[in-house]
Amino acid sequence: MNLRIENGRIIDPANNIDKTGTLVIRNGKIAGIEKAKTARRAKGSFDATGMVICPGLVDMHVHLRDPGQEYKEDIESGSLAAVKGGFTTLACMPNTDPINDNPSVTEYMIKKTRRVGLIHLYPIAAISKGSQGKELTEFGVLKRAGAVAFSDDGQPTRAGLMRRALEYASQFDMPILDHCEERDLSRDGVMHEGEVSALLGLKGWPGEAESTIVYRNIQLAAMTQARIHMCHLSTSESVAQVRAGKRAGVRVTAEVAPHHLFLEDRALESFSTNLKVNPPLRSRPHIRSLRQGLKQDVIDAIATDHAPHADFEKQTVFESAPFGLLGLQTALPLGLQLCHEKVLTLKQLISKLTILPARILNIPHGTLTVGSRADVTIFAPSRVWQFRAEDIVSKSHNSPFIGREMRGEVIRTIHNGRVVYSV
Amino acid sequence: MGIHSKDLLSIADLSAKDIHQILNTASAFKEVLKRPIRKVPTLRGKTVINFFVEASTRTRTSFELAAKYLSADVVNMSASSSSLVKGETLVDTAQTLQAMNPRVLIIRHSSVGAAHLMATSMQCSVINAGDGPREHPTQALLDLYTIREAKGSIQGLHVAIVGDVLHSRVARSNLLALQKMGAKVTLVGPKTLIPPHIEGSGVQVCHSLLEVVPTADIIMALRIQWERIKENLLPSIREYSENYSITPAVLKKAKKKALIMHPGPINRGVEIAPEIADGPRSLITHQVENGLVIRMALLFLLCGGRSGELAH
Repeated sequence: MNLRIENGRIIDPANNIDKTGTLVIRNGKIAGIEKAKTARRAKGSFDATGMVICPGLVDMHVHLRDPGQEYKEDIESGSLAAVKGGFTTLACMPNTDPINDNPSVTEYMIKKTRRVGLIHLYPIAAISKGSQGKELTEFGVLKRAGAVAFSDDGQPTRAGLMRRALEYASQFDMPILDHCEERDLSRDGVMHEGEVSALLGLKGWPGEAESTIVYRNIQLAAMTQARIHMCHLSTSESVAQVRAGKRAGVRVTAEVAPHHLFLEDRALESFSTNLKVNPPLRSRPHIRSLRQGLKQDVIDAIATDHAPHADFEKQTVFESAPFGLLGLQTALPLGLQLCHEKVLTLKQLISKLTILPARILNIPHGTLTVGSRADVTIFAPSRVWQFRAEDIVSKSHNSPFIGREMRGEVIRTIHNGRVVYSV
Repeated sequence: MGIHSKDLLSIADLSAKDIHQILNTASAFKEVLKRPIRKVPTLRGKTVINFFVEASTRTRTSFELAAKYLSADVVNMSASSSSLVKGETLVDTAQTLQAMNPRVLIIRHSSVGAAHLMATSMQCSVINAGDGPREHPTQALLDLYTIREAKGSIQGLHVAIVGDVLHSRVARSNLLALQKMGAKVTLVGPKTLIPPHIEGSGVQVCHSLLEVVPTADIIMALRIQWERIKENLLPSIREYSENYSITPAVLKKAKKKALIMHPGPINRGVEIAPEIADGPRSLITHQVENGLVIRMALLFLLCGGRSGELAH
């Protein structure tokens, strides 16, 4: 099966490419880039004039709820949401039921994803058995089964265990991903501690509960010379700590979620439970620092923390609702909004959605290098559309962006040389 | 939103003009209550549901009487008598209650935003009678009414709100309402019981009662919610009382015309000395009395009543 994507703006940050041309795909692999010319309109060719052609997007932080909570999402619906959002590669967190702390769960995830056949899935396995924070899982066995990193995401990892996890993971050259929450400070907190929480009477989750752990993790990574990755940074101080850590040569990387770049704590005055997320939406100064950190590449990757929850779970009082919101279908247009607002260049945005997360996880994705698997996303960068509840292909609908006007729409998503989504 | 909106969920939804209208309507009802027959037919044939998921004496009774004086049919529901104990969710309860077609639902609930959730799930008017530590708008309105009655005006007064602000919906509604009406508000209490960053709402914060008392026109003590005080928020009640109890000695430092308020229920000898609570400068019983007319006024206005209708 051969494909020619003609006359688009091809952006491949990994190879420092940004030019108009035709991307040629042969036998599921990238065959090369040809100069732009008049479209042939032949079979297997697609006219991408005015569109951007980039590597299939990589989301290094999603929750697919499979196995165990398939009423929220499963690998099939999550794959559909991914390709509709332009993602061809996902890394999924281990907080399934059972927890992904053993090779049978890891293998199940990978096999089911292959059967669905829309995306590549790289499971992140638990640091500790049952994510209970006590005993390490079998990192070596899990790596062989296909795990690419370790995290007890959502469950804080205490300092002693984190040290051992970093030491042990480093011998496999695998990163530890940490959710960064000092629960002794954030306990029962449901929103950012600030002016808004003071008036709403909702228990605060102070920014310091994150940044103290970010600092601790950097210290431990320096001590063990291991790789630490900070999930979904949400505060100014966290950005400052990561910046300092990078300057000091520590092997630290970080991600940010789109919602933390666009939504502020004041929105919670509506009590909309789709705005309840962990870490919580913060105040404007934090949003500014996160955007600055992203622009200056202190924050490497954009990751969605896609976290589906069923309607009936979210339709309750704010304090009782589960944390989390959908991200796969809105990440690219929100990222493009950052380009329109001159926070990021288009090339920078694409690198944060492709090669940078791929490098953190050490997986062969996120580039258009000749010979690599043909995972390609084609989008119209300025097309205006409205995100409606009916557009959601996840099993759940917990997006705070429903009704929002978006700029930039995915036109086609290609996985292993095959079109898996077409607008 | 104004008083002609569907619900009363927060003081933030009311303008100063709305508040004046409510207070003036309450004054008219005070006259009604002096008549030999205290009932008016405004809500005849209409149903008011009093849904109290959290314990209450004065607020529930006050709403019930207010609705009855307006000739409504009143149904009282508590958590233990509702299907919530069978695991029914609040949204399902809202849909069930809506099917009974009430005109007004009054809800008290231990969770922030519970009244908002009911209001978005129901077509009837919803009145927030307390949603966790967030708001208790009718308490703030009756406090404004009581202060206006005692002082003539609220504009320019200095009101000290003393005690467990962290857990207090009374404090949150009052600080919004008082500032809206032109009063200056100082929150007084131990740092652990004042919500961090609350200064953003325009209030002053002070941790010394004796510093604030000399300039206060109204001293409003709050109930120490000992049942919610955990995680080292307060070492002991004794230490709290030594620093923040409204005692005769404290009152000696106050203005001669300074008045004392408390939303109840009172922990006598903890946040307020019994002789102060029962003394001549206390407005506590007026607060309870005025609660009734404020709630009559609100039910009346939410159901489309106009102030002129009461003039005869």
